[in-house]
Amino acid sequence: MNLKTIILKAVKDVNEQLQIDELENIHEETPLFELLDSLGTLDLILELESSLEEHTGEYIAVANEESMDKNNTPFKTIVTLENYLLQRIADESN
Amino acid sequence: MSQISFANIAITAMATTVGNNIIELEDEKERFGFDDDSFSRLQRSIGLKTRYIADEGVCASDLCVQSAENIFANSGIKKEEIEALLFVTQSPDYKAPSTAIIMQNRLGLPTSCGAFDINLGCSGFIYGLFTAFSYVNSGMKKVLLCVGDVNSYFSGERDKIFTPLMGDAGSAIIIEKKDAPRSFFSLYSDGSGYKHLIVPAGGARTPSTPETLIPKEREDGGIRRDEDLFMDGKEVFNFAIKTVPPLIKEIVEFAGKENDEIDYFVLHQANPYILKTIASRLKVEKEKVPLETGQIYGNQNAASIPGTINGFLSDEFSSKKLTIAIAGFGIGLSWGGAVIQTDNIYAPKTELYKKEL
Repeated sequence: MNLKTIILKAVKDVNEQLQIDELENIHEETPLFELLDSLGTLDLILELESSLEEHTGEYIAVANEESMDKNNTPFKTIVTLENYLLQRIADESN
Repeated sequence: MSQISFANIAITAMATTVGNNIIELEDEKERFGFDDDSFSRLQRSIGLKTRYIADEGVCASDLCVQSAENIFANSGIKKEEIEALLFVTQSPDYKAPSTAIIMQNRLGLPTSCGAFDINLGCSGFIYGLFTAFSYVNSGMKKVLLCVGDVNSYFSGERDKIFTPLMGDAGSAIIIEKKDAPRSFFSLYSDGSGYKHLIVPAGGARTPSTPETLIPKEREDGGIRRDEDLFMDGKEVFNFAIKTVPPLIKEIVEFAGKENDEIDYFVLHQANPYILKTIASRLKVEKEKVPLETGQIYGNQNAASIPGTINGFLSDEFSSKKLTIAIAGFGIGLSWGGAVIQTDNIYAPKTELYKKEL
């Protein structure tokens, strides 16, 4: 499973409870961070951590000091999140 | 603030009292309007199980007085030795006078004891401890520090965003002159973030009116009055992740220690994920970072660090010499940390509030 598929599945799982219309038809530029409240963002972080651990065999902390900073969050869109997670995985493997 | 250290001053006793009503979060689903899905989200993301709440009419000072009486009855410390009483709270008995002064009389402390309140929340234990250490450093023999809150004072009765997180607790701590290794403190504040955690009305800036007392449904889905506490969850999460790891790194370095020389990192119990993330960023073994207090007792504000020690580490603190790093962070925004050593202190297990006192 590639990273984008993992992210999309995580968003879908989180949205099963949130039922946000825009997340039903998510695309690369959907404003993820704007649509999720703090609990929703935390939920997505936990979903991603558990999914990444399942696929990589290692715990990778997804939250960083900008996770919930509206200007710099990596959770802005699927694209920014994918780039961020690629970097996190690379950092962990070094 | 510059980093400050103190020689030959130590904590010698610490006790915590919590509200006597144990509320299962499951039993509050209807009150906060949680459906099964949103309830399971809350349990998964924040791990809430129970919280300990005081009866209506019980004040933070009542919980602290019980904690202090426990210390005076069992530790050998005498009331007449106390030269200052500091009370850190956001839920005073009255707007004026300082609740600490009323507590001086209730506890039977000498009138030669100075007493006043400090208005702080989750960083309050560190600020209070720093103030108490400063007073002892300036010549006082023993200082009684009380920290605590009864959260119903400022949390909306049906605010599903904030209220389910909160618990009621009051701690008492004795600080005194004693042969002890140096203690290290660092305090910070940043008022630019004051709106992220705020009770918007009821003070002189926006006085109380009938309108400010009406509960209203807010944009974040919470139902609260203007005189209840508002928390911007995203901003507060960000603040904690951004400030606490560097704070702990700084204070441990200032103390001339390595992380593996610290027995416990006792942090304000905001929520388990924040604590787990901080531990991971500091690369500290998770066993050294207790994180269960909020899940069991609720967020105890300024009392959450002593609440964690009395709640989960009582045997360790009562029987060992320990080097600990502590950090509080929250409303203000304000944050602070310390590295201190404790040596077989009087640290009984957390008690439930006894109505008859």
